[in-house]
Amino acid sequence: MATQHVTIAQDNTSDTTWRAWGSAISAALAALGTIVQTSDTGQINWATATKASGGYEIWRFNDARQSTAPVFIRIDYSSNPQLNFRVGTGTNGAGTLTGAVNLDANNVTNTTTAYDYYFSSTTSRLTAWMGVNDGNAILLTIERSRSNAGAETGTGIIALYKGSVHSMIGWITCTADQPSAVVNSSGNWDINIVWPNSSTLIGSQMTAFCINPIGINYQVQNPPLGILLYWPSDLGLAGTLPSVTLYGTARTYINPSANPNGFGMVGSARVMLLYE
Amino acid sequence: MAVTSIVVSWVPVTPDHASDPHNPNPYFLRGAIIPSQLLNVASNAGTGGTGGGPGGLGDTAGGAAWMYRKG
Repeated sequence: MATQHVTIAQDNTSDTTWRAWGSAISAALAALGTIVQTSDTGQINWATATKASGGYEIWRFNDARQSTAPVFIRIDYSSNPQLNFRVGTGTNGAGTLTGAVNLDANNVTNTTTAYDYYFSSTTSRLTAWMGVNDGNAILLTIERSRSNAGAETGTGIIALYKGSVHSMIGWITCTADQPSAVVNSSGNWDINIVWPNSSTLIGSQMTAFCINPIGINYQVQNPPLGILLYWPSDLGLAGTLPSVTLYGTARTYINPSANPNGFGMVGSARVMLLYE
Repeated sequence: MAVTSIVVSWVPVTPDHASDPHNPNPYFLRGAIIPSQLLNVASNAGTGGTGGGPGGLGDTAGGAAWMYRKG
């Protein structure tokens, strides 16, 4: 498990400032020491890249299941500044993913203000909240499917994504004889969570909510760890949260700001990010 | 009052059909639903109950259809 917290100016003024933005994201991913960048040809060169041309990187999981249930992540950096994440099960060695779900292109706010970027990861998970105080922040978790005991499986890939334009739940199947992907990209995560319409406080206890994707056989799947939702008034922002037990294990989450919120549910849910 | 404990609401898949993804398991979630006990009479997916069915459950696909438990 690894974390990275960096502050990055999302400055699209010049090629130099744009490279500083993109390369800082890339450096934070590398500093995690968990997922690894592939040797695909054509990847961006941060010494010479221009915002007009943009560029991409390919990252992959680095766990034992990668040999039998591979997971690849393509990140496109473009002018505006813009990020586009794709998740797939293979690569052609030249930057094209196979079996890919496009998590969509999202522009972050062009500003010289340095925003907080949080990343947490294992060799088989990438969770990120990029531009926390930016209204166009991007939030994502990409991880393996899980048994109901929380153990990772090679059945599928779960991708939860919230950007400035779209929210998405993506399921990518790693096994045969199944729909290759089940994607809900309509802008809301509204059918995959049982959600209250009021505060959940009972004294000093509150309830957080998992997001269950639809996957194999179009059935409800066990939830990922990276993102939990909660009723907005239940919890102050940027505090130290008590540990959260999920799948029988105590885990560390953070809720550094109100953005992004508005997940299309009554009361506009707020977000906790797994940070360990 | 500051929050001192956070519990998690989630939907566990029971039994664990993920262990056998090629064998669709009707007993997902807690409790059994037996397909023969379900009817979908006049349950048109669509908007606002047109066509004789209730429809319109508000999902983003344009309205879910309904099934009714028969037995």
